Amino acid sequence: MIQLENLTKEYDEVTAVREVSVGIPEGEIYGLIGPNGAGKTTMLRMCCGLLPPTSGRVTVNGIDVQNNLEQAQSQIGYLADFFSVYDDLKVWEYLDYFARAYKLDSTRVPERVNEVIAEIGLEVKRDSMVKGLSRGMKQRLGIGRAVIHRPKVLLLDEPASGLDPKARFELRQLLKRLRDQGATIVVSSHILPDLEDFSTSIGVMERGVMLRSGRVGELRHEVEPENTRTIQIRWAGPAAPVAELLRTHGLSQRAVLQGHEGAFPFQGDDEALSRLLSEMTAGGLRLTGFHEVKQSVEELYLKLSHGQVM
Amino acid sequence: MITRNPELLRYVRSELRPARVAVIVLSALAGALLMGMFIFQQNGQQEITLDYWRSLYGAIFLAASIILVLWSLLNVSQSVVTERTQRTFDFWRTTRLSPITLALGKLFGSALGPWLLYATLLPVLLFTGVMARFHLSAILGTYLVVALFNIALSCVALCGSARAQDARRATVFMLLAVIALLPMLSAGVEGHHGRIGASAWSAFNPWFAMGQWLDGRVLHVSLFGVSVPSLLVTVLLSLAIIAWCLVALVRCIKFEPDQISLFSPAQVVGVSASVLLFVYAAFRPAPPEITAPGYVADELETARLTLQMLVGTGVGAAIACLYFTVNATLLTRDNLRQQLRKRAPVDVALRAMAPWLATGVISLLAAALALGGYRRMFAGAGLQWFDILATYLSVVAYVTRDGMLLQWMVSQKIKAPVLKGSALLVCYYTASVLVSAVMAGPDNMTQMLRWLVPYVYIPGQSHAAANWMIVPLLLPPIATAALLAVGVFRNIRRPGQATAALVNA
Repeated sequence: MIQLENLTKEYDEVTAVREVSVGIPEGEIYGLIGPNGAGKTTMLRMCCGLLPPTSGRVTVNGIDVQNNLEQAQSQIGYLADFFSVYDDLKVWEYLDYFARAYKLDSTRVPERVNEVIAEIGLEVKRDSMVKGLSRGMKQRLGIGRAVIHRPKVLLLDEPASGLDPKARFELRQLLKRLRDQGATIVVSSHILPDLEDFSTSIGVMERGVMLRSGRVGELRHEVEPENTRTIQIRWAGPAAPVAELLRTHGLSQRAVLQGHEGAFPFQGDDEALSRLLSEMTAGGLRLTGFHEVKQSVEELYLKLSHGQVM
Repeated sequence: MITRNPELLRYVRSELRPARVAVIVLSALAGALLMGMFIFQQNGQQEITLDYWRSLYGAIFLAASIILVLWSLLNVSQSVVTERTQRTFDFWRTTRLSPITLALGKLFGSALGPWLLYATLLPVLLFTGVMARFHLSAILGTYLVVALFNIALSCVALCGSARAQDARRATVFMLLAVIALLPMLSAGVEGHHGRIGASAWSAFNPWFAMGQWLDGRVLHVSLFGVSVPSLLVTVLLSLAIIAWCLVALVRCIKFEPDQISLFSPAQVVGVSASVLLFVYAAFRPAPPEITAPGYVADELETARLTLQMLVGTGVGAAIACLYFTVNATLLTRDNLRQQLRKRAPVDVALRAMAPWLATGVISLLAAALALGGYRRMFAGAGLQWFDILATYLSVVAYVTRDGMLLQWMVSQKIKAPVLKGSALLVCYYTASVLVSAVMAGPDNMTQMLRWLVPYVYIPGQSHAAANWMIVPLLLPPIATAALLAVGVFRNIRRPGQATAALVNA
């Protein structure tokens, strides 16, 4: 759906984005992560045609963004990394303006506006002035603007920044609904737990370079050795018998035990894991917890960005 | 029409809310009423006379026109730049709004307040105008001329807004445009000179011609030596300004100022050609009565004076157009870098210089056509075709050198490079005159100046130097331009070393 080929953007002193090549398939939610100044915003701005690349090209649904800007923009919805709206309009007027600006059929504009207002949960604010909305509502209105023309691709730059937890939760629900409707979404964010919730792929950027990009599961496998999973356990009583049992099974080398809980890497299938659990309980360990821990996006990012897998 | 332009519709919705409309309409009507009462009281008469209605009409029309122009300029000059500062600019850039839709929406939408006020006063103007026994066509005609003139000025302000980095600069640009217009206000009252009327430059000030029209007279100006109604020239000028501004806006309104220039190189040459066309069209031969009081110049003297004026006007206009072309076509660092990735430095340099040379050639052709048109008048006045050619070659060589200096300044990491480069050039030309005067003395200063500033032929003045002398005189600017070009197009630094190191790691 989105194809970036050797995308580069140079400024006077720095290369903001350097030869990024990424393909994002249809229906994917792609989390773009990286520190400030990594080049995420520059990349998103190039994807939606706001910034011309120094070299390389972007295609959206097969349309070259540079050469067919208007056609490409009909497929793209973009939300910038800042809050700004036309304060002097009513909520429905604001969406009506963008519906017309995206050249929707004028007879269907009112219907679509009402649809989007319902989608973003602002029915009660339909006739309110935009300036009277809360920050979270304005952000939802911004997303409403970005989806008013039913774009196939949604580019969201830090959509959750500055929002309180409730507004962030509402935003997550909204993005999930959009994902369910079939949109391909690219989200850049600092708030990695939010991305964890719905990202199917991630891209890690640092200093303009795309360090890693791919499906979350694939990247987890890349970070961890084949068939290795992390098992977290909790127990009652002393830690020594636990350490001893892990040692006898050859699992103590990378195990971390502290107080009444710990974690260790385990290589093997579910059958082997089940046998281990049986042996632990049969050996007299008073286990209160035993579960597999998935590597969080945050941990994944830290490992990838700190060169652990470079 | 309004619903077809979402931008205009947005302004209609936000600017014309009932309370705001009521305030504007009532303020306009109350203002007109107060003016009527004030003028009535000033006249000190018990009855309403024809003079009263004429004074009232004049006062309301003038006030409405001034408010329309200033309020529109203020709003339009802020319309795009505030979108940028409030960061809503990117939103409509990602929509499918066409540049012309946006430009027209901003042009009329952001000035809806002043237009509403002006429209409110139309019935008042019609009533007072009819009572003042002005012809209906003159009342409506002057009303429309002001409206068109305001659209032209607003177009210029919108271009300024699309190019300005912040609201303050847009305001300064608007103020400078208004200040530049002020001298024009006196141009219309100069009246007729000789048999062919006032200069067409006076058409920039329509007020005097409109006053004449209301009084039943038509003011004529000279255009290409032909007498034409002044207000017709005003209309044509306004339309030309609107057309060029819309061409520029269609090109650049959806881009950041540093991403794209106002005009494409071909359009810049077109604007320069239009300016040259008007300059020559507005030229009037010297009237015979302008020499010393009581002395009427003979035909030869008049011809010589006219020739000097024509050459001076032509060279002056050519220099102005060339510097405009240079400034409008300078490549940004980003453009330079992108072009140097695709093309050889020599190719990029030649492409950068092409519009400058094109404007130079057009200037020369325009001068040749104008001089050719008046050639019968110049018989015996000392017209030297080779000197004209030499002058234009010299001017183009020096402007190319200066252009390369500015391009070099842009390619360096200097803040406000064009402004600083221009200041440097002003210093250079001032110093050239001073150094020449000091080194060679006032009598021989001209000889030395020829090596430092463009050689300009002044008809009727004797010059001892042979024609071939122009060739060595061209060498210093051409050599300097070449040297600067090498600096600009070969040595621009390629960034990204830090990132390259990261990738290599």
